Amino acid sequence: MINTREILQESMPVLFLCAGISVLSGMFLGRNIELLRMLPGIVIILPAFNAVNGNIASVMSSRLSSALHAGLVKPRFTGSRLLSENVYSMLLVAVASFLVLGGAAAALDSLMGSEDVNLIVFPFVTLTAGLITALILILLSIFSSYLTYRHGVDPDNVVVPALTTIGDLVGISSLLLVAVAVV
Amino acid sequence: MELATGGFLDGIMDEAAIAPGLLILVPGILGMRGNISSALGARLSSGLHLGYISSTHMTKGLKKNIEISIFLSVFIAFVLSVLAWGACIYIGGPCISLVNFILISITTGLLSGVILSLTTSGIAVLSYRKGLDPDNVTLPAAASIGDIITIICLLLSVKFIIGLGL
Repeated sequence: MINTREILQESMPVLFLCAGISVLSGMFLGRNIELLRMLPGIVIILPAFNAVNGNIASVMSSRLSSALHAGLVKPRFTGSRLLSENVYSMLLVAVASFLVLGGAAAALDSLMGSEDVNLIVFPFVTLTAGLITALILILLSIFSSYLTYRHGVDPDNVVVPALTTIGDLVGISSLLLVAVAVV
Repeated sequence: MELATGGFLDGIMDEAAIAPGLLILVPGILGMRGNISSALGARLSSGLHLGYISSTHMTKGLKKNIEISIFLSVFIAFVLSVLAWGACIYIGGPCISLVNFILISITTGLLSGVILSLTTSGIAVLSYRKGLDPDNVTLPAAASIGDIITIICLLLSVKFIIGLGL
């Protein structure tokens, strides 16, 4: 049944933690506002970029936690075929999505009136930054699912919200770092 | 849907010129809305499946859930605005005042909270009535509609609050 106090008690800690981390993401954005002004295409794809990373992290984590619950994967840090197949398929999805996003960014940038749009630079930036983020998130997902599962906590409740928020922070910072390095 | 959100985010960049420091609030307020409305969607789906929320008339359970979600949006929006203001002072550079931060954030939270709780419950109830599992429909729909509604609400609140000239 609906217990107002219980819902509030369980929601608050996660929401507070996420609020803190997402303000950090905001600080990265605020600090680099001048850089962002030079690259309007990057600003337009930013929500989509974060959404793709969030999806990769949550799909990976929920698959992993189902596999842990079903006993198909053991929470030990040794090679497992099921695990490596999952990682490869996620990376494949990542490469495809980030290339498409890079193309979209270049197209939007020229629509916004930039004259010297480089068709190579945008896909390169989104792909590099995206793969860095995806790799970090996949590793974090494996670590945190194993650790929570070993401690008897259901990874479904903890890992997905935590990773989507951390994903925003990692995604925004790697996108900005790669953009600075390239431009 | 996400690319449309990005177009509005570009609008925020222009708005950031009149309300410096505002950009710090954006990831937080988008993330919060996503978290709060997906939690609402998940609770409603479970409620519909278990039968303590009805898909044909307004029940106490549905009303309570919507109230909790709106309360959380406003409260977390307040917390976020104080954190974002602190972050803005910490990195230095121009910032709007704490009062403006709080007012903008709370207006956005209230506006998007009301719109999104009602939309989320509408989607959950309608999909259940059509024989779909609300778990599969409500969460993705709430997450992407959430981003775009929230960023539009943020733009409107900035225009309104800065227009008040406090």
